[in-house]
Amino acid sequence: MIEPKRTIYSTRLRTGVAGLDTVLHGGLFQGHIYLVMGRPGAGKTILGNQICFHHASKGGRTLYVTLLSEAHEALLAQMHGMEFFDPTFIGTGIVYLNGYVALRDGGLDALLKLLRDAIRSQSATLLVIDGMVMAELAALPNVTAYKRFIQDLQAWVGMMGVTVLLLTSSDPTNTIRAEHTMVDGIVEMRSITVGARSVRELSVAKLRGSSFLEGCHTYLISSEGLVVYPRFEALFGSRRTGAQSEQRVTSGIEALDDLLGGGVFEGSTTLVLGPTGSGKTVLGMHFLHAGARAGEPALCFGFFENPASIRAKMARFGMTTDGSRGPGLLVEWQPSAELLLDALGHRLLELVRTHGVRRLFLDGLAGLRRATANPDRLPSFFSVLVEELGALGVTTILTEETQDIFSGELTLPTQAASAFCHNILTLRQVQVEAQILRLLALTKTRDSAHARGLYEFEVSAAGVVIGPPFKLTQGAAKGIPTRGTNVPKAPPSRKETKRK
Amino acid sequence: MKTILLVDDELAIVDTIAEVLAWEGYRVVTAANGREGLAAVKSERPDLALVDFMMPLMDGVQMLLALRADPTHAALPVVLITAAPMALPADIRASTPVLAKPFDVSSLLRVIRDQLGP
Repeated sequence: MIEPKRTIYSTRLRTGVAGLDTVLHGGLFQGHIYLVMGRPGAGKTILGNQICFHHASKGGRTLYVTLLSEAHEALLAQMHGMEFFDPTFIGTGIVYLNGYVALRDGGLDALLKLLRDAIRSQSATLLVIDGMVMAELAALPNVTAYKRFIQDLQAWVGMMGVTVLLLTSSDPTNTIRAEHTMVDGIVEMRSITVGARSVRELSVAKLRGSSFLEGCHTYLISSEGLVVYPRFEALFGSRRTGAQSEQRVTSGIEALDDLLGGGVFEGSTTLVLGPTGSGKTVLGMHFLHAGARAGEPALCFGFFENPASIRAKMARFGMTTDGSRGPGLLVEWQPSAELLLDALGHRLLELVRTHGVRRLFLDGLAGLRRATANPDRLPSFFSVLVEELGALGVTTILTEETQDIFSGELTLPTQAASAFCHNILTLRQVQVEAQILRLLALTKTRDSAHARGLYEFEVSAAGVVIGPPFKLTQGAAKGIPTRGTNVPKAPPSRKETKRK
Repeated sequence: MKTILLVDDELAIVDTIAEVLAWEGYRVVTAANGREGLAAVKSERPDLALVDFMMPLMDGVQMLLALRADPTHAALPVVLITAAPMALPADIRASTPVLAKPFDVSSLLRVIRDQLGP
C-alpha cells in the first residue's frame, strides 16, 4: 500500500510576515486553500505579494493571478517601494497573470483551465488569486457554479501540493457562505475607527488542522509590508510563573530599602503612584542606577522624555553609568501619539530578552493606556505583562500619574492596577503653612512587612532623600495635614536576607 | 497509448486525476460508481483501473470481486483508492495495491508505473 501523503497537509508554509506565523502557530499548510477577506484598503494585495516574495526567496514558485482589470504595471508600481520587493524574482520565482479576460469571456471553467495550465507550466507551489469577488459575480445567478469552482480548485491544488490564497472583499452583512465552510482557513482583515484613530486588526476565523491565536491582532502597513502584532494576552496569557523569589533587590535608596524591609523582591513589580512633580521619575532613576552600577542590564522604557534628557537628568543627580560593569543603562523612548499597545508590549519584551534586562523602569502607564482603543483590555494586558516580566526575573518599577496635584482622594487611573502589582508606593504633595512638602507611603507590599506611616522626602542634588516620619499625622494622607498626637511606629528591622 | 479507467463518485477528484493522467499521455475513461465501472471495463478494455472504495450503488471492493469472478477481466490490474485503507477487508489489502488519500501526483504516477511499467 502506498501510504497517504500526510506530509502534504502537514507541511507548513511560512508566510514570512512578521507576527503572522505566530498567530497561525507556524504558518499555512501546503496544499490548503485560504480565504483572506477585507474591505478595499485593508492590505490584502500587499499581504498576498509579501507572502509571494517570501516564498520565492525560499526557492518556491508563485503564481499571482489578478481577476481585476487593473494592469500589472500598476500593481508592481505599488509594490516597488516595499522592502520585500525584489525585481529579480519577477518572471522567475513569481509570475503575474491576469485572469480577468479568461473569466470574462469563458466564465469559471475557463478560469479554472487557465489556473491548472499555469500551475503545471510554472510548477507553482503557491497560488494567489486577487479579486475573487469577480469570480463570484461571474457565477451569478448560479451560486452552485462558484462552489463547484472552489471544489474543483481544492481537488486540484490538494493533489498538486499548491497552497492557495484567495483574496476577496469582506461581506458587510457577515453572511456565512458555502465557500467559508469549504476552504481550509479564513483570515479577516479590518480597520476600526475609534475617535480620530484608525486601527487595523486581523483575526483568524478558521484554520483547519491547527490551533491559532484567537481574537484580534493589530497590524501596521509600512515599507516593510504588513507587520502583525499578536495580541499580547493571547500569546503570553497561558504562562504560569513559579513562587516569588526570596532574593531582595535594592531600590537604589537605602532608606527606602529599610522601609521595604530590605528592598523589593527580585522579579516583583512596584507601582509608584503620584501627581506630576512628586519625584516618581527620580525614584526610578535611583533604581536604574543601582542596577547599572552593579553590572545588571537596566532598561528605562518611557514615553515622555528622550534618552538624552534622561541621561542628563541622571548625571545632574550624580547617577552616571560611566565605568559601570556590564552593558549599563538602556533607554527606550516611544514618543509617538499613535502607538499600538501590542507593539509596545512586544518591543518591551524584545529589549528585555535581547539585552538580558534585570531591572526595568517603565515611566508612565499612561503611555500604554493611550496606546489602545480598547481600555477594557488594560487590566488583562498589565496582568500578563507583570507575569511575563516576573517569569523573566525582571524587577520592575512602574509609574502612574494621578490627576490632582493636591487631592483628598487617591484614585488609581488604571483599573485593577493594585491587583497586579506586588508593591504600591504613593507619593503626595501636601501644603503645610507656606511650604509644599513631599510625602511617601508604602500602601502595599505583597508577602512582606513594611513600614507604616508617612515619610517626608525631598528631591535634592543627590536625588531622593527620605527623611523622618511625618509629624503632622492627621489628615496628611488626604493632603490636608494637621497637628496630631500619634507618632508612627519605627520601620521593621531589616531582615537578614541576601540583597543585590 | 495506455488506457486507464478511473472510477470515483467525486467529480472534482475525477476531473483532476483525469487531467493529470492526460498530461502524462494516458487515455482516460471515467465512471461514477462500480456498476458503471464494470460496464466501462467491458466497453473500453482499459489497461488499468483506479477504483475508489466508497461509492454509491456498487463500491470499489464489490467491483473488484466482480472483476475477479469474470475470467475475461480477472487479470485487469486494479488499484483501490481510499481515505480509509484500514476499512478494507484484510485479504483485499494483502492482495491488491492500495493508494491512500490524500495523495499527490508523484504517488499517483508511481503506482500507475508499478502496474503498467514506464
